[in-house]
Order: sequence, then C-alpha cells, then structure tokens
Amino acid sequence: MLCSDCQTREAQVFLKQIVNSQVTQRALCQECAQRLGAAPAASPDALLMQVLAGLESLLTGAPAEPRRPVQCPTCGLRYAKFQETGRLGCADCYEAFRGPLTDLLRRVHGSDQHRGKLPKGSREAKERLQRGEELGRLERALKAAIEAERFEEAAALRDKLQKLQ
Amino acid sequence: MPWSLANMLKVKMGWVEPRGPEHDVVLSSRVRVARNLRRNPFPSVASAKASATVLAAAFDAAKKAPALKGAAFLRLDELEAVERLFLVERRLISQLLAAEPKARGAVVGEREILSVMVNEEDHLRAQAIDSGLCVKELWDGLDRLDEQLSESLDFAADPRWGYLTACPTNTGTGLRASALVHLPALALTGRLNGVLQGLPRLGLSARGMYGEGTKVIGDFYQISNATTLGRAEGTVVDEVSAAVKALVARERDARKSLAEDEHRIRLEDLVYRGLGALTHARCISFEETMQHLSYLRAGLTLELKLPATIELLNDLVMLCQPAHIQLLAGRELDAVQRDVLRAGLLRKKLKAG
Repeated sequence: MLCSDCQTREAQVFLKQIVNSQVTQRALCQECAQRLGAAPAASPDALLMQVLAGLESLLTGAPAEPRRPVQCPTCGLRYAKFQETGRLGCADCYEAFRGPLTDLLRRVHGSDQHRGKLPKGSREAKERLQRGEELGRLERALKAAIEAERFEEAAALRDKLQKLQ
Repeated sequence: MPWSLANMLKVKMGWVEPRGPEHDVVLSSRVRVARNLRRNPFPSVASAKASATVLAAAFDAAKKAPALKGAAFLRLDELEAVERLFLVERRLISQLLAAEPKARGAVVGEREILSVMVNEEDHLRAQAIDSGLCVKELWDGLDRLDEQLSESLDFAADPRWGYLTACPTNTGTGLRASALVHLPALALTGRLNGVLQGLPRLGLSARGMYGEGTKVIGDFYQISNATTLGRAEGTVVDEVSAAVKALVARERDARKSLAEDEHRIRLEDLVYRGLGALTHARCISFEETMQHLSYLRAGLTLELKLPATIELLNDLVMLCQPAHIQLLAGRELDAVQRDVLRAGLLRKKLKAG
C-alpha cells in the first residue's frame, strides 16, 4: 500500500484519528508520519513521541527515531537505550523523557498520578501540602461566595479551582 | 564464613516459624519499597566509584536507623559465591545482587525481618518479611524504616509520579506487597488455573517462589500487587490482604472437598508416597524434595498422622536448598553430593520429627 500523503513511498504507519467525532484512518510512510506528527497544529512533541513509541512494534526495519535525539542531560542516557533495557539512568531521566514516560506510565499502571507518601520534609511533600491548603482555601471561598450570591466572584474561584485540580 | 552468616545459619528467621495468621496456607508475607538518591546515577549506569559512594551513604543511613539496631552489614564482594546464594535462598537478596557483587551490599536486621539491599536495580530496596499473612503490619514497620532512612538520604521523588525508580514498573510508591501461599489442594482439584487467571483483574500477579521470572516449585506461589502508581500504600496493602484472604478461603474449600470425597485416597497416596521417598531416598534433588514436602504440608492440614510438624516442614523447605546444604556441610559440593547430603538430612529430621 502506498502512503496516502506522498503517494510515492510504501505506507508503514497506520494512523487512526478522531476528528470532529469522525474516525479517520490514514496509511502513511515513515517520513510523512514524522512530518505530519511534528506539525505543531496537529500535535505537540509529546504526542508525536507517544504515537511513535506505540507504533514502533508494528514497524519493520529501522525503529522510528524522534525528530531530534532525546537524551537525558544529566546522565546522558538516550531514550532509545531506555527502550532497549527498560531501565532509566537517573532521577532526571524522568524530566528529560516526561512526554513518552507519561504515556508509558499510564499504560503500565492505568494511572499517572501518585497517591502515596512522599519523602518527609522534601520539596515535593511541601508542594503537595501547600497545594492541598490552597485547594481547601479556594473551596471555602467558593462556598461562601455562592451563599452570599456573589456569582461573578464564584465563577472566578471555580475557574481557579479547576486549574489547580 | 563471616560470623554474621554463621549465626544466621543457626538462628531461624522470623518467617519460618508457623505462628502468623493463616499460616496453614500463607507461609510468609513480604513488603518492599524501591528508593533512589536524587543526585546519583542509578546502579545500572553508575561507575564503580559512584556505586561505592552510594553503598557508603546507605550503610551510614542504616547505622543511624533505630529500626535496624543490631543489624549485620554485608559487602557482597567480601562473600563467597555460595554465601551469596545462601542469602538469596533466605530471600534477603536477589539473584542479580548475588551474580554481580561489586559495590553491592545488604543490611540484615534482627530475626531477618527488616533488611535493605544496596545497589540492586535501585539504590535501595528495603523489605520486611514475616510469617503468615501480615502485609499490613509489615508495611507499618517498613514505613517507619523508610522515614528513618529518609532523614539521612535525599530520596528522588516527583509530586506527580511519587518515588522515582530505575524501572517505570515501580514508579510511584515503589511498593510491592506479596504473600507466599501454598495451594496444593487447588492444584490437585484442577481449580488453580481458574483462580490464578482471575488475579490480573484484581490488579494482582502470581509468580514463583523466589519472585520475578522464577519457576513454580511445589505449588508455592507469590501473590503481589501488579502496579505501583495511582493507589496509596495503605490501599494496596489492604487490597493484597483481602485478595489473599479470599484465596485462603478457596484453598481451604478445596482441602475440605479433598478430605471428603473420593479424591482423598489420591491425596493420601501422594502424601505417604512422598513420606516414603523423603525417609528412604539416598539421593534426592531440591525440586523433588519440595514437591513431596508440599504434599506433606497438605497432609498435615488434613490431620493425617505424619512424623512432622508444619514448623519442621517450613524449616526443611529452607534447609534443603542448595546453598544451605553446602553451608551445613561446611564445604562446596557438586550436585550429586548435595543430593546425597539432602537425603541424609531428610531421613534424620523426619525420623526425629
């Protein structure tokens, strides 16, 4: 089958998309898939990584390379190496590969939100505590605003809450 | 042999004693957490020097932790291969740690309940293990040890993803809670596969006796949580505990029906043939031993008259392992020599039992 976009190369990537509630299927060659995926209007980098990582098992020959080599700046581990070994090189790898890892963690665990403990007294634990306090404060303010029928203020508070959540 | 290991060989570990809840089906429970230091490369990519730094920092932190008072500190490259295998058999270290001992270590607490592996897949793997079904109690103890260690060590974490581990399958809580269960009646009545197939739906998985990638010996299975992200530690521990309790009830049902119907004679036959083999064999492998011990254990729960107690059988499961046999002998043995010695040990213990 030829690529539906360039009509010259063999299609290797089969893309299923939902656009305006319509399911569309496209058969693309590797080059066109990368080019289309990289277009900012269609999808951000993270989504491209996600799509390519997910499709890799379907591809024959050379595995799909991301647009630029993805490497952890701290330990130098390349994402391709991680895909080979399944082991990350350091704590900063999580930040370097945040996009593809978000997708991977969701697939493995069915969740990407930690709900357990955090190291006592750590920056992360403090941040979470502050966030919890802020949420509580906003919720109380929202309730008070609704009771006092200050609806404009309530709407603003609701938006703030949603953003934080 | 280092003094601490010689001592371990003489003293029984906590989890072999059959005093824990549901011990007729659940041999032991185990919980472990994976932790890494924020600023050091993970063990799989770390240089020898970087690993040595982590090992020293981890030992220092463990020395300060009250939960590890009186613990033994073992540097694995100072141990013989057979001694490292001994620690694997006691479920204190993994096969990975035994295979590549350089800059790797283990801290073993009193009665071998709390322990820490250093520079395994993650910088630290802290575990708690004890007799019977007690994952909740073990988590309380391990949680305290984790807090104590985090006072001296800066653990890597992310507000969204929790504790950061070398393998993303452990990210989040880094917690694996498991129970080692003995399911001979479910196996004999052909119900085992159905039961095991239902586990993934509950977010659980089943593995062999020594954990991931190991084979099943003598109807002993490890049941554990499959995922680590999205649920709090307390929830995971409760879920594993509840699922194992349900499994215990099904195994007891199967044992009851075995005791009542025409299958009973089949089981009795297996038990007494096993006893015959164990008390008369002159040369017996570990795997054959485990299969017979498994039937003997089932026989005891059916109240058959046998020259053994559950405690003795638990003890034999431990002592008959290859490295234990060699340390008892005080020298390295080839497979045939081990099998001969094992047969002698079984004859002696089961006669006296």
